[in-house]
Amino acid sequence: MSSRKIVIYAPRRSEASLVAAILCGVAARIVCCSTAEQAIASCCQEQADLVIVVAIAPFIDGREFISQIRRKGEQRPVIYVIAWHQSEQIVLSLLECGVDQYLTFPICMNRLRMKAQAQLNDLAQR
Amino acid sequence: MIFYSAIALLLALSCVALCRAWRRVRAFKDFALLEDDRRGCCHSLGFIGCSVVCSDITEIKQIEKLLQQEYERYEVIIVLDSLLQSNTLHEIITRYRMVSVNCAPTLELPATIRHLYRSRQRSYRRLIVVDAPRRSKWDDWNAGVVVASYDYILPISSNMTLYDQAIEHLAVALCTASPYPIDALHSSTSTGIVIARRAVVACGGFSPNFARQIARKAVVTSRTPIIYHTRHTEKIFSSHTAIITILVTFIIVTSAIQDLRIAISIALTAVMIFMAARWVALATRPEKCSIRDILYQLREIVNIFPFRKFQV
Amino acid sequence: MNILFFIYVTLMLTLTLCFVAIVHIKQRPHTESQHEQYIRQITVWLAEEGCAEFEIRARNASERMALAEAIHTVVSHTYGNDISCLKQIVENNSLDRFLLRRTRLSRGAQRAHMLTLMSTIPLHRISLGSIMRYQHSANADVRISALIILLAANPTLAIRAIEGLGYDLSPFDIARIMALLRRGVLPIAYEPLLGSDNRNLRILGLAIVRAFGIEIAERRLHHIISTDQRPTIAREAIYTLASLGRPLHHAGIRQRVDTMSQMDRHLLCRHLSAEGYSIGVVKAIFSEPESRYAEILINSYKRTLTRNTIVR
Repeated sequence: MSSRKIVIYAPRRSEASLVAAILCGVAARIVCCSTAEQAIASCCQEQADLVIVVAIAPFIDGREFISQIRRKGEQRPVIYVIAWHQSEQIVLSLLECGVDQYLTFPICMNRLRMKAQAQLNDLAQR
Repeated sequence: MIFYSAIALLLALSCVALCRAWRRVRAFKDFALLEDDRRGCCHSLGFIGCSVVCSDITEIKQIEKLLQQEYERYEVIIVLDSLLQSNTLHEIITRYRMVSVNCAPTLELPATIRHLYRSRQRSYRRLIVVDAPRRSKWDDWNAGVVVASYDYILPISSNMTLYDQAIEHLAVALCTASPYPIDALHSSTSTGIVIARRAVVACGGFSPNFARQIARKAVVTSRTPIIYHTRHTEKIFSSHTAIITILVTFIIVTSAIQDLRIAISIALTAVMIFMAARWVALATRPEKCSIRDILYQLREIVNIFPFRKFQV
Repeated sequence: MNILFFIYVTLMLTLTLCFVAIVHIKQRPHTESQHEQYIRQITVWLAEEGCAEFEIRARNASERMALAEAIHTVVSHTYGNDISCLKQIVENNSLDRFLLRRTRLSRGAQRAHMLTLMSTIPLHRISLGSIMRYQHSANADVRISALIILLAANPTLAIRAIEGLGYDLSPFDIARIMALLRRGVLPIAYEPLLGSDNRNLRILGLAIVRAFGIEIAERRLHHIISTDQRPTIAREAIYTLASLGRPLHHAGIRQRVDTMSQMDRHLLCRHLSAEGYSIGVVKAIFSEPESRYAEILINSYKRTLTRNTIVR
């Protein structure tokens, strides 16, 4: 079993299944969560390397999602957000919060898989 | 003769309750089906924007829930009195990194605003806090309307929050309603009424008689579920439920004296309507359904004045 | 009388038991897990870049529905997929005929949902012919879902199909068409749309300019503002320019704003304030009272530097 861990937080199970299926070729364990509390608990239990959030609500409602899953000053876990919004304000808001990468639906399956794999390889080399 | 009349009345009441229950459940199931279809495309429909104006908010969790709506052209305006709710105001300002900004009166509505706060952080730019003297929820809403940026106002008060994707569904209903643009949109499956900002200003602001000032023709009814109550106030139980319970018990007892069959029929009808209300409550909020939700739905489906004018 | 009583009691007891049973029937978890399983299989199959050795088979109606929804989820959330693989799944399971049958038997939101599922699966010509009649449905959701199927099936005829519509597309309809564009299904450029005199095509062109931030379309937008006699189109063009953050001191804009009603001018004032335009721009377009109104709004986005902003 790989030592790398990817946490997928998606309020909708179909989207979580889709992203998990896209990433099934990546050398990492994948944990799917349907609520923010589950995602935070999963990240606290064992350090995740990559967190993929399929929603923007956790970053704009004041729950300070990022500060709960990342220790102060650290850049891990890497956070990707995938959502439908395209407006500049939303994208800048997320990047300001500390999100590392923002992807919009519809996504290219190969691209997402390669990005995740490259990210994990980069973390392994550090 | 009395027996036949009683059975006919009970049958009519059952039919009304069943129709209403069916319509509510159907509306929620339809919106659950359409949710997927609308998810990827409803970010900013035709520049339609909605400002939710909140009076008497005391819990941060309620603000978090309101801010979870992902529709782009949306803002939440919290109206507080800093003299009465200084702790709540301080907590909101700290948590959402708010700063006081310029605020001059626009004279559109009679509203007194002491301070206006906006967030320094871009991700919280949809939250606005208004410090205004607390007199009534109508005055709070008027203060919120004065600072609102968008064209549609959704007034709410304490213990109310929005269904998931409520604003997206509302925006779709507003842009497809005929005639477009409209003065107000009223939900037939939940509480909540969205009013055009210009209609609020034209009526001189919110007031206890506000509903009467809007022309009936200018109000569109939609099945869009908007608001649900997180905690029903005691008023529901102290006035409506107590009265209805006493009335039903009285009718059963007196009819038992007259004719036991009438009493049994009334009791069975009451149980059937209660189970229908439970079905509706579970269909609308499957994850958190309490006895209070069931009683709330019961009140909605047996309301014998279905054509009452909408209320704010 | 006793017979009537027994019939009534039986009816009430049956209804009560039905409501209890409905609540306890657990269909959803099985369907959802089947849906997720199919999403996994389809995604793995598409990732193999050549159809895999195993077949995806649905054995009954609920599995076919789950499979159709899984294809819809995968196709609507991703792009660049191999259509031949999806065609194989559809043919092996006769999904198009199954969905067509379901569409015929359903109404309202159910029918719209079936049509939306059909918009993401490769269809035969015969199926397309059967869908044409839904374009004239009284239900707006059904109409737009049918249109989306026809646009997705014949992308090269999309402009003609939209031009030939007998009704005005609502902002939600435009958003649905934009979702197709984002998936790369419709090869439409904005220039012919803006150049067309047809209302629907122009509105779609403006939506494309907004969605993709096409600043080089500025001249065409100014041309529309100056020459288009339809107030809604001109207004939409001004709002599009504002959303691109382009300068608004063109003489044509001033003339067009002068022809707007006071209500529309107020709405535009608020929109420009929310978009971050300075007071100088507003003063160039609006008259004195509206400029003062806009100034108050614009200043409310700014911080009062001289005020002590810490709440004690």
